[in-house]
Amino acid sequence: MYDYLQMTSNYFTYKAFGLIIRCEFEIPEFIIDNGNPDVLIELGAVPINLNKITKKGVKFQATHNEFLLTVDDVARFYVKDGSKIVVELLKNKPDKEVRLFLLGSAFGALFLQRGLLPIHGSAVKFGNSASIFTGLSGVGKSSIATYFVIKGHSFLNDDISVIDNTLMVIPGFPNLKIWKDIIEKLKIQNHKLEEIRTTIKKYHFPVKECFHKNPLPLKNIFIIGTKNSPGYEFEELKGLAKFNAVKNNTYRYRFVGGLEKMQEHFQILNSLLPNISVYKIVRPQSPVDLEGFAYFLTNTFKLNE
Amino acid sequence: MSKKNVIWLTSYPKSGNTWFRVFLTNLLNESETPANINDLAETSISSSRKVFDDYTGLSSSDLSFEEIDKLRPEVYRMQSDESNELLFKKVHDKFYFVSDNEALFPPEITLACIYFIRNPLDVAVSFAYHNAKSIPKMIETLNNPDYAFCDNNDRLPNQLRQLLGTWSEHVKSWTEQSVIPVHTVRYEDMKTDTLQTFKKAIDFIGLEKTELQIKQAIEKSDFAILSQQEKECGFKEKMIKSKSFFRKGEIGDWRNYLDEKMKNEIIKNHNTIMKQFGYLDDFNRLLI
Repeated sequence: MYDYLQMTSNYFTYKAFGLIIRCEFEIPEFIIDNGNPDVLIELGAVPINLNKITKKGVKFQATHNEFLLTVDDVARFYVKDGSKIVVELLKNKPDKEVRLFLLGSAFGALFLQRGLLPIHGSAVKFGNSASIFTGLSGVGKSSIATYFVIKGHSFLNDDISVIDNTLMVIPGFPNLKIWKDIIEKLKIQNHKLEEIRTTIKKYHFPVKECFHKNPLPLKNIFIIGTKNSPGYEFEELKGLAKFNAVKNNTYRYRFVGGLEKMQEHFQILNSLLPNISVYKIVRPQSPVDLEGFAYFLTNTFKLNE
Repeated sequence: MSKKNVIWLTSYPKSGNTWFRVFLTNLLNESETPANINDLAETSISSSRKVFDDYTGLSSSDLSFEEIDKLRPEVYRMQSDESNELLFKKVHDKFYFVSDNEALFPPEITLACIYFIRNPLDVAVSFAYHNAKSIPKMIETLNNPDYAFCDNNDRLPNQLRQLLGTWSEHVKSWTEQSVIPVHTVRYEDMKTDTLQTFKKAIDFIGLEKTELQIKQAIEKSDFAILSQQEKECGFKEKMIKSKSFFRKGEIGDWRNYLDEKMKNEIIKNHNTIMKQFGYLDDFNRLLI
């Protein structure tokens, strides 16, 4: 914990993922809050390399309590003890590009350091519980979540759905990221939407009024896949297949640094799995029919009951 | 210290790459029954988005095509470094440099490249069927210098962008570069002189396999078996609009589909390479 009083007064305080976050720069995607921070985000120099590295990727290094990520020409992120993120800018200001990677991979590492379970996918409220849509990138996780939001459902998370050790889904922040083709398909007014980066036709879709601010128990995880034939199929996963499927859809699983963290991760998975249903869902790869897919999900799994 | 353990299995689409991958799977598995066509490891595709995201720690969906290209060689290097076995990677990209000194496919980890080439007249027909597009459209595609897979930037395709260019440019990019050792295999030779053609490719890679093992793997990869498996269980690499992936695989099937104008257009566009690889003689007469 950090001493609230010692901090400079021009920092910004937010609540996201159940955490009070104090940041040296503005994060407009988050909801403003107050209180003693769980996480401090500051600008500054970060180490070139970490010592005693337990996991390494092309652009990241991890130890049991540290994480370092480089995004060329954007920023370097140093995450420590699940409570501090230092951002070293490789450009002139902490703009939307910096925040894109901060709220993605850097927060993913932070969750894993805190012993939380981040699932790569979007969480939507059905009844009094949450269901998570996960699967490989490009499979339509955000698209189906957006469809449900437009149809009046509340949502808790886009891209990273965090589950805590009480097995609740913790709300992230009120923003979806959707591709241009889905904006057009869903006839969303896009003149005010901001591109995530100038070169990429993917947009921030702020949805404050549809955001569910309180944690919800998790009921289902839907692992979406595609196939090259018409119609929808599903299979409920059990036993080892269920465990592996959720493990493999953990956000940035390769960031889990060291054996100790890995055991913590398995423990939370083991407590979670008996209490939820995990389904593998296969949809036709094209055409993308969100209405038909939502109808299939709602009716097959009685989501509205 | 990098090790040379990656084998790139490279081709323009519909040129025998998948057949060879099934054969390799059978050769390396050495099981009694033929390998399942749906078990050719997904991660072995060099354009896998999942592998890229896992290895970089970044979402490729948040990166530009150029940023992704710049990181791809590093992803392959790390995969090579982590593997104690040979890595076979299917490739449809043309060969190019992502920066002054950096090839998309790094030479220092490359053991070999097998480049599969097929008569473009047959490629046009097979590719049209595969994509459920008209033949004139595919003839245009074969001659499109900007042709690429997964290059829409308004949606997220399941694979990374792959630049192919024209059919001729694709062939030249791989067979005329000098930084990676390439063994070129003609589809027509795979069909007509199967054992010797496959054996030469295996020798080039440096795999120690007997002629009997190669022969058995070829038998287990017979077109009839692949086609039957697809009929029974489907094949995930088939495009949704196409009826089947394993169609006919015949040499000279173009004669049933291309008219004189279509044929002449392909020959005009790809004359030099067709001559170089024995599809045309010096008088532009077809040899196959």
